[in-house]
Amino acid sequence: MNAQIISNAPVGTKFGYMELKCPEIASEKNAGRFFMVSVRSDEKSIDPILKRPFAICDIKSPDTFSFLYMIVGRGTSLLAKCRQGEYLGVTGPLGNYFKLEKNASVALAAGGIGIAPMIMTAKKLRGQGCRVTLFYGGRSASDIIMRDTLENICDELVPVTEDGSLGIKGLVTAPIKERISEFRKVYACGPNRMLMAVNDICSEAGTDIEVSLDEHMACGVGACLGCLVAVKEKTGTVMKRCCVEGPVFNGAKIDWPALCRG
Amino acid sequence: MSERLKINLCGVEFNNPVIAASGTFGYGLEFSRFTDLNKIGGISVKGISLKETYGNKMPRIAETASGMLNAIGLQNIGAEKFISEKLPFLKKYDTRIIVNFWGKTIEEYTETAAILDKADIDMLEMNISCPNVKEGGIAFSSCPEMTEEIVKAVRKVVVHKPLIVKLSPNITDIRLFAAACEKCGADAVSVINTLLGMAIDVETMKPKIANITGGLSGPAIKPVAVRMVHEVKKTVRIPIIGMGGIAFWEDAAEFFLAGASAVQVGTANFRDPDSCVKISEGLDAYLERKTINNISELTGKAVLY
Ligand SMILES: Cc1cc2nc3c(=O)[nH]c(=O)nc-3n(C[C@H](O)[C@H](O)[C@H](O)COP(=O)(O)OP(=O)(O)OC[C@H]3O[C@@H](n4cnc5c(N)ncnc54)[C@H](O)[C@@H]3O)c2cc1C
Ligand SMILES: Cc1cc2nc3c(=O)[nH]c(=O)nc-3n(C[C@H](O)[C@H](O)[C@H](O)COP(=O)(O)O)c2cc1C
Ligand code: FES
Repeated sequence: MNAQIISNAPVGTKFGYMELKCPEIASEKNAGRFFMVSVRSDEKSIDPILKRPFAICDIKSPDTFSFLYMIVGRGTSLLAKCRQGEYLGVTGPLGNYFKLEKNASVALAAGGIGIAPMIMTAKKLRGQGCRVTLFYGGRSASDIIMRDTLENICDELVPVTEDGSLGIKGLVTAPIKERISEFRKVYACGPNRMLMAVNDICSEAGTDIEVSLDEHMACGVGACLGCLVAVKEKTGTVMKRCCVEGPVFNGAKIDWPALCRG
Repeated sequence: MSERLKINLCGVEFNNPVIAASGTFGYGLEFSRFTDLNKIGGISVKGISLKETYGNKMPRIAETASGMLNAIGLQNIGAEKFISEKLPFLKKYDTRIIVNFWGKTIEEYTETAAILDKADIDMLEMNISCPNVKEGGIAFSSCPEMTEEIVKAVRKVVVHKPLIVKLSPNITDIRLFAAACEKCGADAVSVINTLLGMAIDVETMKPKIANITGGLSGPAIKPVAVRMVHEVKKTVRIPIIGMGGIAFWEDAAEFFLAGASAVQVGTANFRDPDSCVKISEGLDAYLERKTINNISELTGKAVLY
């Protein structure tokens, strides 16, 4: 399946925002799902051979959707060079999704590029009568992107930076810990260590938490068994495919030490 | 479906000679939302063993130049569960079902093969690139004598279905192994499995996969695979299923010219779930252009100097 690039624009120096025309993905109703995309428009390109997984960030029309990417390596650098009008191979929508509360106060916790799935999630939650507080952490002000959009889609935006250049100074977990009693549920996406810390806060407070995890993927559809996550079940630890049974998991069930290896 | 692409492989009729390779296509159903399984000649399912197997530690995959390394560890749901839970779904499609299987001892191989021989499937494909735990973990594919022993033992219990043996490229002379398979009654050989490789992340200074080494696949290995198909073709008369790095119809055509009677497509399915279908269509157009009536006429037709 091919999708045409409607627009591809830099966001600051480290990020890009791309809108693609693809009715199959744009018809998605749930928040938290992802898709796989080739990083070059050349149909015969074999390097890199694998597609890259990205969260569906926002759905703009019945035909188009957008995603936000952080430039971290060769694939995402190539993605930033793709031009409007070109076609990229896509597979999706993929994976499971956040189970959204209705008429409740909820928190979204995003670390760095973990903001990507939160835009659609915040919109859907508000559509269901939720009060949405978005905690958004980064190293410094330049990591906190799309602030104007975010202000509009949640009830309260709480920026947190490690160097204090924007919002609260420190780690995103500090304000969450302070205010955890306000929320019926937390939805989190970000680095594994941050997710583990947010999960600890939730388990102490008895608050439900869903986390969106990031594993290296080859197929994205459940065939290669390359993306497994250790999940604790009554019968013991079982390995689940991040691309099919995830990327969203109940935080309480994740084997966090195994995930935060290395 | 074009008559030009129909083949008979060891008595089994295929609508086209393009097969999805084991381990890259799950149990078939995973890709059914993204490609038309009826247009794929056959599906070789993820390697099945006697008992459910959980596989290796994470990370299990790493991308490399025009290819990837994997050390999945042959995770699968086991023979009985495959037959009861996955096979009924696959049977709904007009595609041939090849069951790839493996074991850690000769007994595990023969028990698994005996179960599969009675199942409603088309062919068995034996992966011999596995360590023999009774021989100190030396792979069944590492010397022709061990290959002979395992093929002989499995041939005895596989009486209803064609038996394909999948050869490892991690040896010095693949011809000896192909000859051993033919001698011990194999109906066909699959050439090749992945090449042993390794990659290190220079920032963390750690190997990119937890198993340290893994199997290299994808376009990076294609010239090695084509060479091995050519060598095997000159050695045995049983049909060869060629694979290793096929991404486009031109790659597949190369394997036929080198001596393959059918091809498998693995890693390319990750790049594009429609790869198998597009390769069939491309081959068909190529045959028409070259006024060749059937793909089987292409086998081994490389014009040598
Ligand atoms: C379900 C899911 C959703 C994702 N959503 C987004 C998103 O919305 N926006 C976004 O920017 N990124 C997202 N990612 C991560 C993104 O897929 C990787 O950053 C991207 O594949 C890196 O490609 P690259 O070629 O630039 O990096 P590479 O050159 O392949 O690697 C550069 C560095 O990134 C690391 N890396 C590569 N792939 C991944 C990965 N899948 N996860 C973690 N680290 C990786 C490598 O180990 C290396 O250190 C998501 C990942 C998953 C699994
Ligand atoms: C993720 C992955 C898993 C694989 N699992 C198996 C397996 O279970 N049994 C097997 O015989 N081959 C397995 N293979 C090897 C492929 O079937 C094929 O022989 C090899 O990848 C070369 O083809 P390709 O370059 O088209 O991928 C696997 C390959 C990959 C990439
Ligand atoms: S990426 Fe292949 S199983 Fe998840």
